Amino acid sequence: MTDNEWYGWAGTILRVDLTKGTVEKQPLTKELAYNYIGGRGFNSKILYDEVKPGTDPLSPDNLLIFGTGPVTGTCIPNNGRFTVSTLSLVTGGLGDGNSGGHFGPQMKYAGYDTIVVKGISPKPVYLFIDDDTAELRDASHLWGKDVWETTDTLMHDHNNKSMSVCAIGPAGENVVAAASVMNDYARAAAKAGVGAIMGNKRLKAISVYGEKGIRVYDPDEVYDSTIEYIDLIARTDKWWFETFSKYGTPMFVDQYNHLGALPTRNWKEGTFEDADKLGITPLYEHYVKKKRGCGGCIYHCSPWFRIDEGPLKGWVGEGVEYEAMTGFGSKLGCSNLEVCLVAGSLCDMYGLDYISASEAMGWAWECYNEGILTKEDTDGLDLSWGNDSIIHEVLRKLAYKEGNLGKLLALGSRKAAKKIGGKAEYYSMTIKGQQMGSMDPRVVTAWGFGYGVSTRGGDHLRTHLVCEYMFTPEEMEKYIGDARASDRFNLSEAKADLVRWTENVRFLNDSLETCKYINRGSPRSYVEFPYRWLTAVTGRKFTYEGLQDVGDRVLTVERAFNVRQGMDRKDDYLAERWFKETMPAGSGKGSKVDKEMYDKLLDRYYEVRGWDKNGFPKRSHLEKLGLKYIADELQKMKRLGKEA
Amino acid sequence: MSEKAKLEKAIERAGLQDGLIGRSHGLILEVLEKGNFCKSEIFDQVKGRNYLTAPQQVIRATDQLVEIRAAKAVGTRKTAYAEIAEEEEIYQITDRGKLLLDQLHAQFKTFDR
Repeated sequence: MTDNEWYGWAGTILRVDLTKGTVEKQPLTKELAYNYIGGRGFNSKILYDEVKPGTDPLSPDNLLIFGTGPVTGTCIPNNGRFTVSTLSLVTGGLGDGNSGGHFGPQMKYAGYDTIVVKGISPKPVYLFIDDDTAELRDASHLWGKDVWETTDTLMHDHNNKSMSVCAIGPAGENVVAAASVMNDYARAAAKAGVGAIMGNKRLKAISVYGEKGIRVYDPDEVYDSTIEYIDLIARTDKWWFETFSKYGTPMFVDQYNHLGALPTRNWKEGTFEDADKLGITPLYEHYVKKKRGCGGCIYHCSPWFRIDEGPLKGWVGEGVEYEAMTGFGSKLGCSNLEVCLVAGSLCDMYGLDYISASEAMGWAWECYNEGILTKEDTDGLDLSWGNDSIIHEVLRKLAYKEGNLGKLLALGSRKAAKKIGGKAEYYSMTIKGQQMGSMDPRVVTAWGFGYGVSTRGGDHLRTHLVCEYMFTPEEMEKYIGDARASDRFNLSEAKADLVRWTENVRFLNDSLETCKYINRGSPRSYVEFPYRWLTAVTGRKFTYEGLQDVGDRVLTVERAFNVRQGMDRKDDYLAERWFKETMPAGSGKGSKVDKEMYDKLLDRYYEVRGWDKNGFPKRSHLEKLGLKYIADELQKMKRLGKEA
Repeated sequence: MSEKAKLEKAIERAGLQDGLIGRSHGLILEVLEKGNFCKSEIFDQVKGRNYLTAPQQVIRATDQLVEIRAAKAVGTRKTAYAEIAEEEEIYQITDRGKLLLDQLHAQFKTFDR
């Protein structure tokens, strides 16, 4: 393999300057590829190096980076992911969103690993990519259109239904904190306000189509390891493989309700009395017509629905998700499944993140029910728990920043709560300002601790810690070293080691750019396949241990970015409710997060990460990871970790 | 080949050697020794013991027992756990399962931790 020969990686970074209106191609370096792998790894390194401390997220100096991985677009299972990174509008630290669909593979087929966008365009534009052609074009005719209209228009204008379109909707144009970057109609790179950053840059869309293909180094091993992986999952993760293939994420409504972890009424409770009305039984009996998958998917977890009768007759949508059922269902006390389904589709059209939008709404609902917000604040709308008749209207107001309520929710719940003050801040369920979804930390404690230390703020995907409740205690003992980590209620120090391990293996999902659902209950799937796939695809010899080092490196770069932005230990705590209020019912009744133990966990976690008690990376650790320049910079800022 | 050797071979073939069959499997086999049960019913009887706190752990450990033929499905019935399946399989301990349970009893003083 010669220095400019690439397998797996496409070998080119596209640099877009919206202020100048230029697009340039830059060769990928082996140093970046081998030490940061791809996707989130590339993005986080570029963000650290190029976005300087004190940058305003809405300034031209902020970057918006689209990153694919070396296995994106190959036949490795579930390879259709890509990461969008930026200086977060929501947390003020590092932010990113990860999406599926076909945009990532198309970027690779056109010949690009990463697209780095800086500047602000004087007028709306879109980036048109067709193999070697990459240019900015006028998007005046697209501005104001929703995501679905924008996608249809670009496909029609270019007479190409095979292109992939990544776009923002009105929420992004209006710089709403909950705005996502959407692609392929219904796939979302969410969190961090990535859609708002794109809208602020006046970049309406990126259309991409490629025919170049991707070379892999060892096609036989790529094929053999893929077949071996599928056999492993089908045989040893049988329940997961069969059930998830059948139902997709909506199955989590029933599952999390049984675990007592279903966020209900803005996280006050962990079980919802009407969960069965939102779960897979009514969904599949009445609404789901077929299922689709992202690039290379072995599950096809994305149900496509149609409502055939009633007031919402005619609505269709794709990617029906657990987060829509819980976000617009249990979190708001709403038991109307049709309202949840349509709310999910509206989010896709407006370009809103389900989680961020519904979390902001959950906060507003609780404030209203507690008498903190009045009808004057809500433009006359009644935000009583369970009032499903106004959910779609509130989403519209949010996307268009309309009225008092729309303007308030557009800030995101932390900033909105600060504006209101008092108890409103207690009801904002955020970490580092970022809203999260998924499961209640009081009954899945490592999962919750992962929320706390996540480098992009409150988030379940940095760890996606399903092994906490899926590994057997025997597997936990062998792979993590302590069976106590299997007890989902107990907050032992073993959980710190578990979180560090899962952060590293989940980083591999985000850098190879594979879906997190390829690693679930089988420990071997986490440990064995990433390095085999990388080696086979790229021709570079990778090991499990070597990839753990890459995980440590990227997590530390991300931490250093946040430390440089002013974050420290105080930003790693959960929302106060989870420390103060016990779970009122369900299998976790009486559980809350023990703050004293949480502090011990933070100490242990920082220790295994090579950071000091304040959460600042130490020089010894940074130098071991090849990051001396970061140690020097943090030292100048007086934010370098103290050696023990 | 002796039954003991067959069991060892099955564990190795399933990649479950080196301690991956342990107390959890002992607890499940003890339940199945008392009668035939579904996974959710097994979980209800063992929850809280040996850090088993989620049904998914019992689902996984039971599937491992089935893979090494220490337990087998002998029918189905409808239960409340819709996410496991519309109907759950009912499991029975096999002769190999009884042998494994004896071995686990010899290995561990107690299955609780």
